[in-house]
Amino acid sequence: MIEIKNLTKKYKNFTLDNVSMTVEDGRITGFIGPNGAGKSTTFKAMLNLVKPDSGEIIINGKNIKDFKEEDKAKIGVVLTDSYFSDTFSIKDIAKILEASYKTFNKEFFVSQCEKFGLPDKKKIREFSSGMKAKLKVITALSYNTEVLILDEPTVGLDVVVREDILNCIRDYVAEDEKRSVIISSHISSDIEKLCDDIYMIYEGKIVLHEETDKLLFEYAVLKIEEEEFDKVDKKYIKAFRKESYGYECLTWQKDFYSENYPSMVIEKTGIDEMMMIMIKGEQL
Amino acid sequence: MKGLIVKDLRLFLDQKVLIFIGLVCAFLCIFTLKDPSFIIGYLTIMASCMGAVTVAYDEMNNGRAYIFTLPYSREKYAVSKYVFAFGLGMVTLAATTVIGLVLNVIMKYDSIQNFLLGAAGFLIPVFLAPAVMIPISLKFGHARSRIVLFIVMGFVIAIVTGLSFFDGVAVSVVEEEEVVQLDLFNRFSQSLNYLQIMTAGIIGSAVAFAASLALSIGIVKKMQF
Repeated sequence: MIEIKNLTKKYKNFTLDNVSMTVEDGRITGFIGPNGAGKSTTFKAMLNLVKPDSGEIIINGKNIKDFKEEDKAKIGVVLTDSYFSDTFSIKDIAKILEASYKTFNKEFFVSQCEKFGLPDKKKIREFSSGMKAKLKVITALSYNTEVLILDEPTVGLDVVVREDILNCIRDYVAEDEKRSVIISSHISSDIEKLCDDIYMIYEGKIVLHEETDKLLFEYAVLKIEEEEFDKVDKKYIKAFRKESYGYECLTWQKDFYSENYPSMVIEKTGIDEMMMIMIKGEQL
Repeated sequence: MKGLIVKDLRLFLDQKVLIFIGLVCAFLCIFTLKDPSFIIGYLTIMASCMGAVTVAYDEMNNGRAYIFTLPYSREKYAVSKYVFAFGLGMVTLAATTVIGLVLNVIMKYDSIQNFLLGAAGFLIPVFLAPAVMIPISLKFGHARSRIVLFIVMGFVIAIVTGLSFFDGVAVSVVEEEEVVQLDLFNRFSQSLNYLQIMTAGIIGSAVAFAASLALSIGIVKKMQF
């Protein structure tokens, strides 16, 4: 379980502002937002790679400031822009992991590398970006962790391999109900398929947190003509933005509008569209 | 720390070409220079520097951020760098000393005592190479550390050159109510024998090594990504 409480980190041109999140045991939580919104900073704070100005992060009941080596060993990590030296081969990495993690499952690591067609003697610098992404995920899954922190793990992968990777993550959580996963991705379909709940971050602030099922089945986009917009009850509208025909509004109670405004155009929405309205529009 | 040492060893072994060239040069020197001490110094300093340079390899592709997520404290990361560079230097020093000793006995270049004393002197660079290179590389990064190292070397050369000016320079002092000319530098250096100078050098470099380690731990603890 991961608990982030009022996390704040100020940079010259960016502030991660009072971010609070919870990733429950047995759940996969998605973390979405545009580039530069604060996803990677939040992940790095969780991994003690940046020092927050205030707030606290508790993983498995322990503040990360008090983490010992055995606590770190329980966290599996994928970072978008960081991994072992690319002069290493898979064989080298297996040796390093074996020497570092008591719980390293070499058999699993080797078999997964074979399954995904990763050559064990080739240097990582000769791998394609997709192969590197696969290797990072296999590494994170190979030492029986309780928490997975995955920053863009499916970047650069084709749809077939992405599906395999997502299945691996799903199986991983299903194996033990104490395991929890936080994952960021720009591929909204991955997040929709995989995650139990989703946090959206924009300009360093959490702007939305919702169960994925609720997002997909109760959220909707209302298309309202300009002259009608002022007359519509906005108590269930989260954000809206101006369009050529009038307004596009994001609601979390589509039934309310379908019952009370039968002629209103109500469209089912996906995460990408929701994000566009939340970010480009005005929040209520 | 085992995983970090294994990682550094893999990085070191990846420099096969450099290691091979070093060994070939050393082999050629055996027959041309007829001085086994040179080979000990050459290979030991080379190994110590190669051990310390693994800091720069960790930085490539932003790799250090990932390494810091491994189950080791940042202190252990810093310590592992010193252990590896020092260990590599010591293993090389021991191996080349044994080879040099055999050559010395066969070729009768020098007395065994003198040869071993000379070899022991190379403990100084085994301590000093990581002591200088590691904190500079950690603090300034791979690219800028070269410039900083160049400046540090310039200072060292300037100090050594400056000291050499005192060699043979006489100063006027009053001794037994008589003004006499004294060469203080020579008097000081002659008052110490080689063993004393070398012991002082080894102790001094070991102290520098420990201070450098403390400095590097401080640098690593403050790192953010």
